[in-house]
Amino acid sequence: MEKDKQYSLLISPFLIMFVIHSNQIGVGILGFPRYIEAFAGNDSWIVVLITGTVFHVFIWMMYRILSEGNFDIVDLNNKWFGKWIGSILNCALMLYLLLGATVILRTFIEVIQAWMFPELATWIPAAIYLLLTYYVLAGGFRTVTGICFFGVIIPIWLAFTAASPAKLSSFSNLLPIMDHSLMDFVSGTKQMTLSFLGAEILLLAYPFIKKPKNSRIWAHMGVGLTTILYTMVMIVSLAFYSSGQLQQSIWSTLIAWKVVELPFVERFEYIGITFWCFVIFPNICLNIWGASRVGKKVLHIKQKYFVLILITIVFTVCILMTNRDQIDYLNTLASKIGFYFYYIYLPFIFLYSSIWRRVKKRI
Amino acid sequence: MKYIISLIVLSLSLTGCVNEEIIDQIPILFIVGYDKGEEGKVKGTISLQTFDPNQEVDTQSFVAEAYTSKGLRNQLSGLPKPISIGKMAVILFGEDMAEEGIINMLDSFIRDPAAGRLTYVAVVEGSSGDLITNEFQYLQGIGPFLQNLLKQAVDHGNMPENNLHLFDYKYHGEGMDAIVPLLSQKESEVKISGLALLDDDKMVGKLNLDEMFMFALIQKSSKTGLYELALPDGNYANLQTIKSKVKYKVSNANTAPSVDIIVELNGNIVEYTGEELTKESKSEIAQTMEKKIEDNGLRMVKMFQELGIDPLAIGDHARSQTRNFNFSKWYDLYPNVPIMIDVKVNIGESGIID
Repeated sequence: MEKDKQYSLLISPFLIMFVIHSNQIGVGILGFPRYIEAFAGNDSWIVVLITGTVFHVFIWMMYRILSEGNFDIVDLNNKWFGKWIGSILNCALMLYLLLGATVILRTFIEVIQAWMFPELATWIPAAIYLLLTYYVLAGGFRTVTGICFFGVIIPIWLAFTAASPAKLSSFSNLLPIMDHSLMDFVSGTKQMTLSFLGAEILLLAYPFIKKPKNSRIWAHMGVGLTTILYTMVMIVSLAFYSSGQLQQSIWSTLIAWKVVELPFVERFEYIGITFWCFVIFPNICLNIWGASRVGKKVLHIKQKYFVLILITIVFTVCILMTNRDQIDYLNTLASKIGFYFYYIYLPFIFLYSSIWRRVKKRI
Repeated sequence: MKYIISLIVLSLSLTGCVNEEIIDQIPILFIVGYDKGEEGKVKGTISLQTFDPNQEVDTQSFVAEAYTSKGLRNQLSGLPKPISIGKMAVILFGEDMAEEGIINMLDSFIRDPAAGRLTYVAVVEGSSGDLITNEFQYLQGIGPFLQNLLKQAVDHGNMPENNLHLFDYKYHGEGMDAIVPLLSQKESEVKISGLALLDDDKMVGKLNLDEMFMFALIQKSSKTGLYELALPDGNYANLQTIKSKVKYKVSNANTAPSVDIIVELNGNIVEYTGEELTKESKSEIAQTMEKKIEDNGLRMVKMFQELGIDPLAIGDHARSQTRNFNFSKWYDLYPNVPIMIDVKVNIGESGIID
């Protein structure tokens, strides 16, 4: 526990909603419908709701795990599994967060390159983003939270643009409801997990919340907001595209923006992508912040310097990725690790912590 | 502080990393036409507007031949580069080209992030190149003119909704086929002459203006423009702003399908050549209309079934109403599915006189 932490460095409980929500929404929302549709077809929106519900359970688990004292997951790993195994787990967590930051940054740069500036070198937006990230991280977690808040509030109006594709949609595409097997739903949910990744930041941010126990409702609301947004995008995508068309569209949400008609701009995607910079930024900040927290506690390097190392790593990996296949590979890797994190590691430490507590009580 | 300074310095050094495109200097395309060229090549015709800062817009057309749409760009050596297709309004195909398939050319527009999806795709009776290069007296150029013509035909006229997105939607979708507007030119005039029926991406048939009106009404709930109805007693009545409510009922789609198309129409009479518009004559108009749409609709549906195409998306309706729907079986059954059309016409207003 950090005793030197002052009350003024903590965040209000309601802000955890923005932290979780902004870390969940990233580049995935621009193209996830086709991956889900491949399994669950016209029932994909139900898959989104199922996954959302599952993540409410995960949030509940996290609060149970963290319920004792004011520790984050790094302290708990060390406490439960000893210094060695705990450190290995923590380093793995750090690498996972770092991978998350890299995947999001590189994929978003790919979007910029594919849609707006085909000639743009990768290092330029990467450098701009990462320097800004350093600037924000230098301000501490409260600044990061501020970025999360604005990363949700500023682009929220983009949700209304769904009205334009909805006008060209045929909502009978959603019928007949529940026309898929249980296996399809399970595979779809597994696939959908990638889009919901990011809630794990709670495990690290928990000690930074004022009255952390009261913040639970806000964490659930963060996941709830994510579920609502994803469901909306999914329903519009299903109605706007035919199945075959959706399967060929890499960035289906962006393509749907092509039918937004505004008097002063011909291609709405350019505005959409520009505003998406606000959505991406909190993701990078939070992931690198999380990784640097772990690094600080495990490796005992000052956060200020460790962030620099992490940023250099992210930057290097970003410019080494040069084509779609590599980026896809990185995405799949992150999604696999994230999947195991939620469906194996989290339930495991949940059970472990429950048993640990019970045993301790008896002694 | 030093972070801020370093950021400012860096962002200043980053300017001009990407090629700029200045609107006065790059050619902007509004219209392109594809025709069959020699030796399996495609003949592309474009019409170009160059914006002169102090004068009116200047229009020029260019022709080139190549195997792909983007390949045509290299052949257009008389043009300054880069060519921008961001404002492309209309993509035309000559009839001979349309009969062989249009997806290869459209791929270029569907793939390109700079291209829009509300672009119109249309087939020209005859050669699309001739239509573009013809010196029409349209002030704004042929591209924007055609865009307006088609847009208004959809918004206020009798044309069903169509654009590049809907073409792509139906091309990739199962149990549906696309339709695109059919244009024709007579001397110094371009006009809409109906709809081209596509099988996947190949044109296999046509609908004339009359049939297009019927098609728009029974395809899905919509609003159409004006229709002149010949009555059995030799009089004529004009109906306007006809709103249709359409329901497709497909039963036993997996085994022995049968389809009911239930259409409910609401229209206003805006012109009548007879003596007086009585209650009887109104109901006669309604009945004539019902009969006309049913007969024409059935004839069209029969034609669609014979051609093996499904522009009404009956297959898609069947899918949405059937659990575990089997498309391959549906395709086998489709040509012989009994399809009924049931029309009910309501006459609303009849102007300010009887």
